[in-house]
Amino acid sequence: MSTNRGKLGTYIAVIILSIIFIYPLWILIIYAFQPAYLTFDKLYPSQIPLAFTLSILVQSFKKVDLIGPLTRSLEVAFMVGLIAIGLGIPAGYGLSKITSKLSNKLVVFLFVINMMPGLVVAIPISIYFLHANLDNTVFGVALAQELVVLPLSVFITLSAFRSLPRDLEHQARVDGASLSSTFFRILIPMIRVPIIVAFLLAWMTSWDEFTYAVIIAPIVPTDSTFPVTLYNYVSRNLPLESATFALVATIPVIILAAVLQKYLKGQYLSGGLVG
Amino acid sequence: MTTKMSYENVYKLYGSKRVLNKLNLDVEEGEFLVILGPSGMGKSTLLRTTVGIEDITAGKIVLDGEDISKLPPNKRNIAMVFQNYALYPNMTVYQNINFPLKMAKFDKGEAKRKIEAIAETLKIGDVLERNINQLSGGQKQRVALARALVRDPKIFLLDEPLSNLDARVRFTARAELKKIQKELGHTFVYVTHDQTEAATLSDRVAVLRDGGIEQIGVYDEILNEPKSKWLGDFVGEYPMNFVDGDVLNNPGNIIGFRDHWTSDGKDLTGLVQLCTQEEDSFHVSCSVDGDNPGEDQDKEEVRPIIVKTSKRYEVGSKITFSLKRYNVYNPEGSLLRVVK
Amino acid sequence: MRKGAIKETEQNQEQFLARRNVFKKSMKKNLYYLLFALPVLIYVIGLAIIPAITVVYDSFIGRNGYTLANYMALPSYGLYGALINTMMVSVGALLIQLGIALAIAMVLIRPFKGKKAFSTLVIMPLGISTVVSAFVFSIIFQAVGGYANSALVSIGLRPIDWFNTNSSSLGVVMFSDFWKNTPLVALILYGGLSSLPPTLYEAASVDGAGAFNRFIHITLPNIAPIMSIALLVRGVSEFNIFALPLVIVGYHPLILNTLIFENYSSLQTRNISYAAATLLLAIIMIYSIIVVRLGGARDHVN
Repeated sequence: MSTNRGKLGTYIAVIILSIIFIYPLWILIIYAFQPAYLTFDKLYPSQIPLAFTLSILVQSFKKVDLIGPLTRSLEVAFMVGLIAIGLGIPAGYGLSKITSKLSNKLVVFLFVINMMPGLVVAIPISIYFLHANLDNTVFGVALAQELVVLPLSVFITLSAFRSLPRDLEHQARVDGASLSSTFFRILIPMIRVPIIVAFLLAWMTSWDEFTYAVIIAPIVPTDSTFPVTLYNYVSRNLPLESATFALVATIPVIILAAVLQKYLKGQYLSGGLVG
Repeated sequence: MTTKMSYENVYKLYGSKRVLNKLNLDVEEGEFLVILGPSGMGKSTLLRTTVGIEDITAGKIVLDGEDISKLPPNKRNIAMVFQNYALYPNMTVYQNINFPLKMAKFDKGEAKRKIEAIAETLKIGDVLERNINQLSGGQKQRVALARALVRDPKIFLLDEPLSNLDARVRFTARAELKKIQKELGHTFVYVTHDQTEAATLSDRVAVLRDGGIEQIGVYDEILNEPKSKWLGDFVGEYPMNFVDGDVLNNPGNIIGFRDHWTSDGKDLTGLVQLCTQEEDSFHVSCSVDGDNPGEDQDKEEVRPIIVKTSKRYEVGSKITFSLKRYNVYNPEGSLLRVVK
Repeated sequence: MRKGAIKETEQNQEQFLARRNVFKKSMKKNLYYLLFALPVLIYVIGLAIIPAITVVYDSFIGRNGYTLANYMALPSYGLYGALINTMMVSVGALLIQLGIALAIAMVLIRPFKGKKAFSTLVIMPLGISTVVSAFVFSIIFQAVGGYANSALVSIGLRPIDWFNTNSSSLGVVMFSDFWKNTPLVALILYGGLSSLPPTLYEAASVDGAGAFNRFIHITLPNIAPIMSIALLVRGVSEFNIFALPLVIVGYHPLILNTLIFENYSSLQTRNISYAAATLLLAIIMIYSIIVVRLGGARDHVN
């Protein structure tokens, strides 16, 4: 590449892409912090903010329930994260102990199952849950969303257990530790980073998940998670409240994603299919 | 001397492969027993089955009169130092050494006292609060040893613990290890493929071949009177020389001798192939007249005879020498008699 | 007599060892450790496989037992349009994503000032909820008070009614999807690119290959397996696209998932919705098989 022209090209590409990626967030912010006559009521609203107000935010909190769905989403997301590591850790441990030919097949099987359309699975589940009184409950939504995150959690913990030197486990046994002490005092502390990653990825997936949530907990807006409620507000044509809601729900996740950045490797995100 | 631990007809099978094949061995109380053998002969498996991280297929392992072969590792009260030290990376040095005590539910104060005492002995008192990845190789080895020594196990197993150290550190570590073992009077079973370690550390050496004990005894005894040709080949800095029995009036048998057993004389004659100087002596590779290596079925390649001499020989010249002593082996490779 | 006895025990021992089926023992060990993974397997079978079988089965059930009536009825619910729209959105979004993501990965692989800031910015959409991005794009592209139009007007162009035609509506959906999901593809491709040895490029440069030739002959063939994985992962998600079109365009134009969603809640049309779901399942399976066969992704799975 003739260096100067190449560099210039790179920078132009970087700038254009940066604008594209930041633009929607920018719009969300200027929509939420400007009075409605500059945004919603204007035919051609300005791209740069001309005034500042907190009234949209304040009014939105008064007019619709924002805290309820967010709390609900938090509860679901934490439950999904906990179930993910609760089921993922033992599964990863067990699979790390059997022949890798068999365990690889099982992991691939989990990912293949994960490719099934969410709606195909969600609708029958909603009928089961209706009978089990799990519809419209935090636990029900979490159980359903768990399907999306489980393969990845198992894959992450399996890789973590596989990467541990076998002799450490042996050493612990020789040092007098029982099977359970070996597991909880030696193995688990050593893979705490992958466990945290698995938890947070499950948490973030749940926070974003819409399909299962809208099928399992659709009826009363405040009974559902934040994405379903936001969809409800958008379809009820409440753009200002929706903007506030979207912003409030997004900021913590952006912070979380920034913190997580060093762990967000393609390997994890592609669902473990990158060898 | 009393027997500390004994292996009775121990078998370990992987599929149909017998890694331990009817192994019988007694370990004496307080001795430093070195298990010597080339890799793949079952050395590590022997330790791993002893400590219980692998099961034996058949037989018995008796420690202090109790059959331990069915017990889980944490119930056997055996300490082991792994080749790579297996230090817990998420713990400090202190926590590592403390772990076995914690598992044995030691009183905290007593544990502290014990740890400080062992750290003193092993000169790691000033690194107790460090993380494992801040340690040098030699320090890691000491920490692993300290962790094994800190509780009072019945016996210590060490799996090539010095092989990861560089040469200089290894030399001092070896001396220290021997000193500590003698001072504390513990029973050590030490696995290695290193001849020097076997020679310098051991009270006795057991040579492992194909999952069984080929010979057990003091190192020099095995060196000088190996019970088989294979042992003569394996033990020692240089392999034993083997020539046809014909050359010394032992038709049908094989004569075995070490390079330094030669003396001035005319019993054997040969042709010099190579001569290298080693400090104040010379190593001469030669053929021996009357020796017919082609008949030797065991030999994969024709190996020259190596003798130690005090003078230099030209390549292609004739060499004559006698033997101060030699061993006679039958064609199957078993020792028949020692001639001195 | 005594010697004979010893011989006998030895024989017994040999027989014992020969009988001892070590292979069986290792299978036993596998089974024991599989127990740890059992909850996950039960979970997946109970909450994914059985429901999916129910869907497929029920799609062939009518008022009078087995029937193809549900499938016959699908066209009157807008099946063909939904099929075409799903294909258009999926293929279009996939191509845009792959192209731009490759560009981003190529940029990120090289050192430049502000690389860290740029990579943070690129990752950001991953942290923004699908419904939120759908909502923001619906604001940007709305006919009245939309920011896209205000941008067009400010540079002297005429405003566009973005949701007036099917194709422009789908275009908005595609663009939103590109925004939300390109970062993921870029990360995957970046992982693939950064695993290529730099000497590969150096050798090609020495051999006189220009930037374009290096891209065609070195970069592309070497990351083809990773690209096919990205194609597999993202392609399947594209066919599953649901929240984005639902929020942005509602049921007009229809795609397969919104068709399923529109009809599942009433008992009369539930099995029709199941028939559409079965079709979607079939499409995804066929697509996956094609990608795995063509792209050689299989060699790289785990």
